[in-house]
Amino acid sequence: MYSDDFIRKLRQEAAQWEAAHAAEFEREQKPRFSNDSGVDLQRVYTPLDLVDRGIDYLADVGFPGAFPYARGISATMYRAQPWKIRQYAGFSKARETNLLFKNLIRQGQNALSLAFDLPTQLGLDSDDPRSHGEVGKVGLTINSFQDWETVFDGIDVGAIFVNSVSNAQAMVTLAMHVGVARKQGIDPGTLKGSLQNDVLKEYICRGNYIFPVAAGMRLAVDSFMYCMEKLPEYFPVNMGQYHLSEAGASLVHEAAFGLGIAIAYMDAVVARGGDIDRFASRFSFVISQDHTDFFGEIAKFRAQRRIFARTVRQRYGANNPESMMMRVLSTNGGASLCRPHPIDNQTRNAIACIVAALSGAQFIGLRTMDEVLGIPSEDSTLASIRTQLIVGHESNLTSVVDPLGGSYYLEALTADIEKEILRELERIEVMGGMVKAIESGYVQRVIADDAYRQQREFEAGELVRVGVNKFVAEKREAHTMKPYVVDPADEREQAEALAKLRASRDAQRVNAALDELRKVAASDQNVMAAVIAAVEAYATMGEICGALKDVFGEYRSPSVL
Amino acid sequence: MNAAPVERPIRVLIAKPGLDGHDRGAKVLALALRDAGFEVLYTGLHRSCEEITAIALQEDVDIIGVSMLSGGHYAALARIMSLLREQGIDDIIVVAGGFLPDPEEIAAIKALGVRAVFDTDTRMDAVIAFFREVVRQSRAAGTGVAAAPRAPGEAASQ
Repeated sequence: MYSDDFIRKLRQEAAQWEAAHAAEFEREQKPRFSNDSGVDLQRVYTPLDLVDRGIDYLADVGFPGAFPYARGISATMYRAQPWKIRQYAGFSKARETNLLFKNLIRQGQNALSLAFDLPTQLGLDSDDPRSHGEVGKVGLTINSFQDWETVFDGIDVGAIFVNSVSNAQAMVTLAMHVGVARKQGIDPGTLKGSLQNDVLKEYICRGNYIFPVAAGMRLAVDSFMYCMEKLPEYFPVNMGQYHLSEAGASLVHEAAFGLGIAIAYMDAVVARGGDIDRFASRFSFVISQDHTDFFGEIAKFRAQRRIFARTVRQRYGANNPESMMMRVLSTNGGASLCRPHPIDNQTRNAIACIVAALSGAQFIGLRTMDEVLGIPSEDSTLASIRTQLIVGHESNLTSVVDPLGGSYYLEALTADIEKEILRELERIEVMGGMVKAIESGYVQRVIADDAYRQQREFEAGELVRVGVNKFVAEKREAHTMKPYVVDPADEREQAEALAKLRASRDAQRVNAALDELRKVAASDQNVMAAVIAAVEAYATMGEICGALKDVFGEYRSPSVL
Repeated sequence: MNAAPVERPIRVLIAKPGLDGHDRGAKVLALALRDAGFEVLYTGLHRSCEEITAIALQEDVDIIGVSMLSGGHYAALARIMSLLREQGIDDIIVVAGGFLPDPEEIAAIKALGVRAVFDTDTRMDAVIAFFREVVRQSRAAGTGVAAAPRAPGEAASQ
């Protein structure tokens, strides 16, 4: 990239500059600057850093929208289409969620994301004894197809992108979305949306698993195969890498384990005879973009795009360029927000939004400033939408594609982080892949160690949170934010609604559908058709997952540390 | 100090009742306690209150730390406290940790006999210091319900 002459001269001048300022360097605030993954950060970066790392512009960086996609998956990026705003939202009751969604659509949101309460995520009905105290606490309750119909009442599901944050029971919510399309007279084949449907990370950190690992993988792959065949516009998996970050993973571990999980799914689909181009071209990631390491996060996205593209091409022999493009919903994490001054969290959100935009995300989700106090209020959700609109429409940040590309620092950091991610991926490969690495507890231990290190650094004051461990105010600001409060009567109402449903539906049809589901689950056939039939017969979430538990059993988390 | 020359290390059970799957805080605290010389057991996720109580008795722990991030604290702690009472156990100290934004709920939880409520802002060293002090007092008095030192987490909470 540079002439030998130029490089020689640059080395000389760099050495002179170092010598001339040596005394000033002594006054720096710490002897070593690094990021959360232990990657050393230099004082300054120059073209020498590209040369010394052997970065080949054409092969490693290239152009936006071109292999290996370090500069982004689109040649026009936000010049042609702004990122899609995707706020995570969902109140406890279907009717309230329906009204919230209608309001969000009017406010400019063009993609919806559904958040569920814990019983729903674990395949339990509201009247299950294990659900007691949890109904409606952290999101929407879905007991049956009836609730799904209410959520989308008066909303054209053919015209809006819908994401469901469902994992272990994703095949059930997928079936409900197909069912609601049919009811609205829309061809399910035209549905646009996505499922999180990433069960593997549930065993690592999020904990919303139902079935043993092998059964969880089989059901996930069943839903992948169904989507590939019947819902060509759908994204059947939105790998939840951000959750690893929330659990404490450093950015290198987050990216490495995320890619490890992606490889596990792709291996499984290929083993079932699935077409890699069809699957990988619909694969997407949820990736964390906290405000806590501005350039590190951006470098992580670029490094990960490069590794994903090369893996899909080399490991699976994919041909379609779409397969090699790493699509991303970028979202910051609640763990980076603070409680003493909730309003300050909007500043953290704004920085995170800029990080995501500079990283080339297709979708951006921000936290809400008051979620440190409880389920977010509608006002704070709207404030986060406006924060995204301000970054996207007021700052002129979006006029140039990958505006940071070519920065000596960023390109060098991207290469350094890529090297560390590849080293971790190699370690997982040696262990026999991600499923083995999870079953052995390795991944969980690495992430817990990362979390513990961060907490020690926080308590030592090395990891700064303004207003919490540095620049602490005399007293906490009074704030008027009132988070959404769940009515304890919800649980009773949900149980009554369930009783009414059970009394009014065709019991014979329900039983036949559940019997058929057990039979199919015990065979090696795809369960999706049987799940759709059970949903449309108004079998409940708990009954459908219960039938599958009869066949597969339940996962029990290890109690080892 | 007139304590026995070799005192039993403090045994702590970190417990995750209910359906909540967030255990970052539980694991971080468990690692910190272990480094501080405590014997630490972790239940894993989704344990019933009956299972938690049984493990605590079987393992003869000094402290049960109940961690929840979903907001289901009150129901779980009420059940655990009543299970302990039913079995005549008064020497196990129960504390709660996690996401507890509502001062009224904190008061209600403490009224159950839960000795301390640690919110997500609490420092690890504060929890460690509290555990040492409360067990020291409890061992001196021969019971888990001796007058409690003030929980440091409370000073940090709203």
